[in-house]
Amino acid sequence: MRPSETRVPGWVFMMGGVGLVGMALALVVTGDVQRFFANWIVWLVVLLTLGLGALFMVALEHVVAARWSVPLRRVPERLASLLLLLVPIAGIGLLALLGSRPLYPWAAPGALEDKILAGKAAWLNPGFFTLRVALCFLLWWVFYAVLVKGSLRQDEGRDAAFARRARRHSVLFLLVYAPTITLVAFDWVMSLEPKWRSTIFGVYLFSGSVWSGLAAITLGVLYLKKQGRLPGVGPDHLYNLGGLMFAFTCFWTYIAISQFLLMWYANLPEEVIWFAHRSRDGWGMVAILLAVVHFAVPFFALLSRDAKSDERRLSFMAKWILGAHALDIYFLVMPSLERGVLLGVMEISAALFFIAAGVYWAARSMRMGADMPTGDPNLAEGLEFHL
Amino acid sequence: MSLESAVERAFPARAPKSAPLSPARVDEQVLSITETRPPLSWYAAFAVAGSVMTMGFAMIGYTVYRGIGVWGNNVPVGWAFDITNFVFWVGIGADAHFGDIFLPAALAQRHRPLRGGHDAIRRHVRRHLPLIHTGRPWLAAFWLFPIPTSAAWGQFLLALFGTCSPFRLLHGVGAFLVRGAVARLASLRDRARAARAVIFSILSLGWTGSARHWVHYEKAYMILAGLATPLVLSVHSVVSFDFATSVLPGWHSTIFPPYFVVGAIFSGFAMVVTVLVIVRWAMKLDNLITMNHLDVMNKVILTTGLIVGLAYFTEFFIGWYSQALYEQEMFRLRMFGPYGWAFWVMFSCNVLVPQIFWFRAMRRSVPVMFAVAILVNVGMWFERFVIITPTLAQDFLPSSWGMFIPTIFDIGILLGSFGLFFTLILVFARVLPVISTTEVKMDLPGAQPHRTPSHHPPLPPLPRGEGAAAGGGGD
Repeated sequence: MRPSETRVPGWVFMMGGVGLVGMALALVVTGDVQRFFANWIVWLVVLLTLGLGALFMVALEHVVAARWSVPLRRVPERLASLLLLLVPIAGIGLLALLGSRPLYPWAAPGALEDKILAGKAAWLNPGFFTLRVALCFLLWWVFYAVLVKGSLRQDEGRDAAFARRARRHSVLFLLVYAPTITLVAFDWVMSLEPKWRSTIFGVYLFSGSVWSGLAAITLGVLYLKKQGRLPGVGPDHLYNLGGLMFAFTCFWTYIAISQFLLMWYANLPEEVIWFAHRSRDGWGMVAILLAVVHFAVPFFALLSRDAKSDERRLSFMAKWILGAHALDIYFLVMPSLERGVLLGVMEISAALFFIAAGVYWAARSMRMGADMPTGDPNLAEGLEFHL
Repeated sequence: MSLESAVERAFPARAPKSAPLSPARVDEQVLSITETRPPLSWYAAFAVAGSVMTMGFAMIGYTVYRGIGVWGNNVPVGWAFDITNFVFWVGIGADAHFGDIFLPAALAQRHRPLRGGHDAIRRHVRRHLPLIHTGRPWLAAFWLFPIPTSAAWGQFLLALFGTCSPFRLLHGVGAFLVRGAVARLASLRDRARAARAVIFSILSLGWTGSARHWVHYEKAYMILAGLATPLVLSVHSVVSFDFATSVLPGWHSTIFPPYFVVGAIFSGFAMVVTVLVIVRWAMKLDNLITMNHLDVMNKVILTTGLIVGLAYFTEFFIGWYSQALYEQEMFRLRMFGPYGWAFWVMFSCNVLVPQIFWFRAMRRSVPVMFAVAILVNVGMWFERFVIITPTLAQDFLPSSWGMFIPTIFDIGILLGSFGLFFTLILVFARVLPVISTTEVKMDLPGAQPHRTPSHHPPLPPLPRGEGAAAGGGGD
């Protein structure tokens, strides 16, 4: 099957349509703009972290000169195109700063009467916020163009020097990725409760970013492999993906525990308020659910050696991980509204719409270029990879 | 006579780079070091390191005799050099564990020889510090170490307890097996005679190198590496809890656990480079510890240095962002207060100096990497000092501010810890193989038969341009 014949299944359009109508209806009927934007931000962050995670894996491969992942690299390269889809989504997300009761309290009229918020106004103001978002997208787009488009040109044999250049540019991307993912965390998520702060928060989102990126890569690889489009990719390649997902399951847990433990232990009012919002009004149950879904299940499901290369297990766990990542972001964003657990037509519709949009975009992106980076001089070595 | 053969004749002990390594050659080159008398320079180094170590122990003895009043510690500054040294050496040690576990995984085949260097590092220099800093080590032993008595059991809530925790026992036993030390010791045994043969027979646990032994070994290796991975990450995370669980601005920061772990890798790699460069030069091992290895290690130093730098900036940014008076003031004092100079030493050594490794020529210059590695060690010692001492010296109430001025005992014990470290390294380097010969041999051509392509299913048609060696290998 040729890449250009990748078809987007019909249910994706159905799902997206239902989601879109549901969101519009819920917004019109309830008039609850805050809740609408809270959902919007949840999915913006979910897709953004995922797309960046994919681009991170591309860059990491170039930087450390990994061979095993060369045959798979086209999948994260294609998934990174999600960043383009996210430009309009982030643009609409910026509207959350407007209105008399905006989602971000620091953007509300009269917020500057608060002494602490006034002190932060140099950083937290709509103009600078928008500028930072635009700058981040510009930088990501530049590196997407350099790394992904360059790799496609390499396939066409028009860019022999790509491999060497890609390595340098990937180093630069990593230098950009670390502060920008921190900005995503601090701006889009942390400033929802503008008086709260946690120095580890950027690392927290980084762990989820790579985790979900890996899960999406695994799904893409399995999808192509099933169609016979990745000849030579065997269980050992899958094993590495499974191992990395397992590793980042642990890493996320380590970061999440570090943040919680230190705040719980010190018990400072301005810090624990964030966890208070996430343990009251039903959110405590969500927190426990998150620990089970985000840590316990993937940990034990991916622990054994065989599980890491078992296609059915991996496919199931990759979907599970994407769901867990969405739950994680939901848990970071929604309690900031201080309205108890919100799970209604709005949330379900938003989930349907954005999942459909993500699947549609990812499936479409599978048409981009050849299924393997055929111009990469290390492809043969990558195909030979054995544990 | 070609230039190469002239060089070979001039330096016969130094195997030319092009010479193919064989298992026997590797054994001969590395193991024979332990079987010959050390050169005079070794005795000189040993005399210096041993004297400094002895001086350090004498100072510790006097501290225990008189009490910790002989140190500069005072009322606002209850922790100073003692915990600074402790965290510094734990960091060095923790990195050695990293090397054991992650180097095989992350850097894989080409970098195995390095693990010998890591082995050398992990002589414990660190446990005595939390013990003696209490002033009454005979009592502290009860609550810092897991001594099974019914009367006094460890204070589990004390983070310092965690840093000396019972997991270490597991690790101590497991580590011996994990590092393939058994097989190396067996190689030594096979070459030894008389008393040496007896000693190494016992240490190598009856290893014969049979296929069955290797199967068990590989299994044990996997399991222990798996168990040790969370242990390794937790070691320095728990060290960071010594500070981060408090409510002091400058100590209470959620990024501390991963930031301390990265700092440990950073300082550990710097220390390994310091030692490795000396070992490589003194023992003429540049055919086994190649410039490519050192290049990669320097890249790790650069990378971890950048991560540490990001953590500094995050802390400072959040310090401002918090809009909390004490947070902001603490960071201002850290930079421009009475200990500001220490901050700038730390910042220059940890953030600015490693940037020189962006240049390939600098990464591959032995004098440059030696200087950078030493500066990074200085910087990382100062990092712990900057975190610990100024934070205590200037806290919430200006009326209770104070200063810490080290006494001769503080400085003596610090130097003594380096003396102990280098003494142990020197002893180790003459008694046990400095390089993991077993794993070097595993990498020799033919050692991994299943890596030859004939066992694979037929490959898809080769892509165009496979001849272009412009690949990212870099070396």
